[in-house]
Amino acid sequence: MAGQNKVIRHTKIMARLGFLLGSLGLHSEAYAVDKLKLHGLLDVQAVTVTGRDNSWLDGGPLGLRYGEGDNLIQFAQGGFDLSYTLAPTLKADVTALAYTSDQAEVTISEALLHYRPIPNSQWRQEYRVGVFHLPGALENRGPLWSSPYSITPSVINTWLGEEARVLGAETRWSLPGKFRQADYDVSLYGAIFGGNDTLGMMLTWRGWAQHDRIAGIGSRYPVADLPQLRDGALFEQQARRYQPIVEVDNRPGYYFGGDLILGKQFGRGRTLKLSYLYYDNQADPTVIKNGQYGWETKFHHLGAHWRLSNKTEVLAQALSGSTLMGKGLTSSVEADFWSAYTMLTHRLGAHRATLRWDRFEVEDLDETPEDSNHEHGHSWTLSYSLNWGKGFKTSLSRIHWESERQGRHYNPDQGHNIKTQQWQLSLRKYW
Amino acid sequence: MIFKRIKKRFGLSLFVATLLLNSDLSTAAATLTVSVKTADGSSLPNSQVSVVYLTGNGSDKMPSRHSSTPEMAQQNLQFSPYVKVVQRNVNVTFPNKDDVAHHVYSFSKNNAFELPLYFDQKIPSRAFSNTGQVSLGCNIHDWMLGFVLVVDTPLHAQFDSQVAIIDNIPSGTYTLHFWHPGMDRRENITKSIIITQNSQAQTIQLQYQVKHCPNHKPPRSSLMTPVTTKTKPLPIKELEIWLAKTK
Repeated sequence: MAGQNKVIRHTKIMARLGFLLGSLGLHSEAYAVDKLKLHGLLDVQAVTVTGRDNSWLDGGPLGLRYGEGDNLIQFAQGGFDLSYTLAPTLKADVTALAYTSDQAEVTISEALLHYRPIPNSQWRQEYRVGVFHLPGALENRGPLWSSPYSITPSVINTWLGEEARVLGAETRWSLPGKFRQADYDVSLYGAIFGGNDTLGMMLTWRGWAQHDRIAGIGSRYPVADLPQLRDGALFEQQARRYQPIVEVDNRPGYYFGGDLILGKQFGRGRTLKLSYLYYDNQADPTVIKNGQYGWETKFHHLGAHWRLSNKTEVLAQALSGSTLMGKGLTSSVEADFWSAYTMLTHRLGAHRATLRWDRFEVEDLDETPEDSNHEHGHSWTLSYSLNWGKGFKTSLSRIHWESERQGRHYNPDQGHNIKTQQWQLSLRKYW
Repeated sequence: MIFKRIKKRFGLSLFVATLLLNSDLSTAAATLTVSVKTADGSSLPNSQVSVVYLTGNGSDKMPSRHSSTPEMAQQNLQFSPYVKVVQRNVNVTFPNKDDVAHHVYSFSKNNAFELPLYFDQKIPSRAFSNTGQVSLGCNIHDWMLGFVLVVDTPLHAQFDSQVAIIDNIPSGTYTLHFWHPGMDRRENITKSIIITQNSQAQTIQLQYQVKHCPNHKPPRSSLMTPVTTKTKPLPIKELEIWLAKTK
């Protein structure tokens, strides 16, 4: 009898343990997971590229992720987003990403505390502290900052994903329309941050790019063999690796902005979101630390997301700014840059088609002939995706990339112009 | 034509209330039936969100007529019902019928409260001691919106399809109130009515300008799997992973 009780007790314990473990697992149900949430993403791609240029990730001049010599099958991305509810209004959130093949790395792209106190007036307050993305990337609304619209995001959001990340504190004050019978929501935000003093470096020396690699803490990317960075040249102190997310001058930067969302309350699925952001990393352009220069970069950013219906959306972003490095040093780099895109996307059940046109330009303002950073170009992206359900998604995308950069003449193997098509077939699993 | 277009654009409708009074001599009490039509004569969409109630004639001393404990549930990531009228000091329960936590709050004047993150283990309740509209939100799901209308009378009714019925009304002089979540909240829509044992059916026209109800349904993008309730537990995926569905 006692033995039987023991067996029952053990069975119960095992069942409870099983439930506990199960609820910590990926496909867990019910309430135990509610505090701890784990979302993940795996992306395997088949890739082909025309042209003979190497990707910038291989030290080449091509702004796309894959170039000549890359394998057909790529493990494009793996990652998870773990969030834990510390208190009813406080959540800790960590996103880790892994990449193999070119520049393999495992990195933390976001690690933050998110505090949302209970509103005691019509204003809702939110706070983020830690390492996080800038607000404003309209495409990157999916899990782990992925885009639901295309495999590779726009040129602007590629850049925000690879160079813009802050270690800071952000506050956001929103006035939702629902409580005051207004058909618009307003949201204002601002942040003070560090850790982003080299923003502008890759944009200037490498040029604009379009890929789906998201940088994280400690990410390092190869520096192409540019003559101005060689030993004995103007900027020989630059390390052989770009480090986009570092602090070099211990001076805080800031950004502020706002969103206006129209039509959310009384509309019939038609909304228009307008957003603005001003960013200034206030980096000291005379500082160099561990081979990384301070790039004093500021930009304005505008975004518009127009939902014409539940199925059709138009997105547009424009970004314009300037960067300065090395002022007062023997040589300096000064450049203006801008990029803009327009995107039309249509969803039909599980199918989605997206067409996007990107334009981009860097205008080199300093008069250093050995360091020409002029670039202009455009790209077309056509993407189709199908959701299989259960978190499986297949996408097919073609990017037509054209970029003209005078600095490419430094390398006798390269022409000024690059014109490339990149085809990607992606199989993603979300959970 | 232009006016119609403007009206449509701004979502304004004009409402006409028709009151029917029937006396029942045996109980010396009357039944009030109120119907509402829009200005163009069509029936009012989502009429269940409208409330009528009577004050005066000592109604604040009359006992509660709630047949069961009033409930303001959270279900399918919405408040259910969207509107609930309750008498002052009557307990309202807030059961969570979803598989995710909700954090219900209100900052409405004199009735502010908070029910921290909870699941179904316990069913919290609240009694509201001040009359007025209590706007409800959820700190986790920003789109969620609901209303508890606290009144100081048991003589209240919500519309059931096209009519609201208040019965067993003692004779006397009352003030009839009409409330709708889309109406201008600075406006007080009232009408004095006398109810006697031999009241006749009468039609009173009251004109209100009512906007559409603010949206309170989850955005499509928030749902990855069809939302189900406890009876068939399935994990409801929240905002962060909506993409895996057919967005």
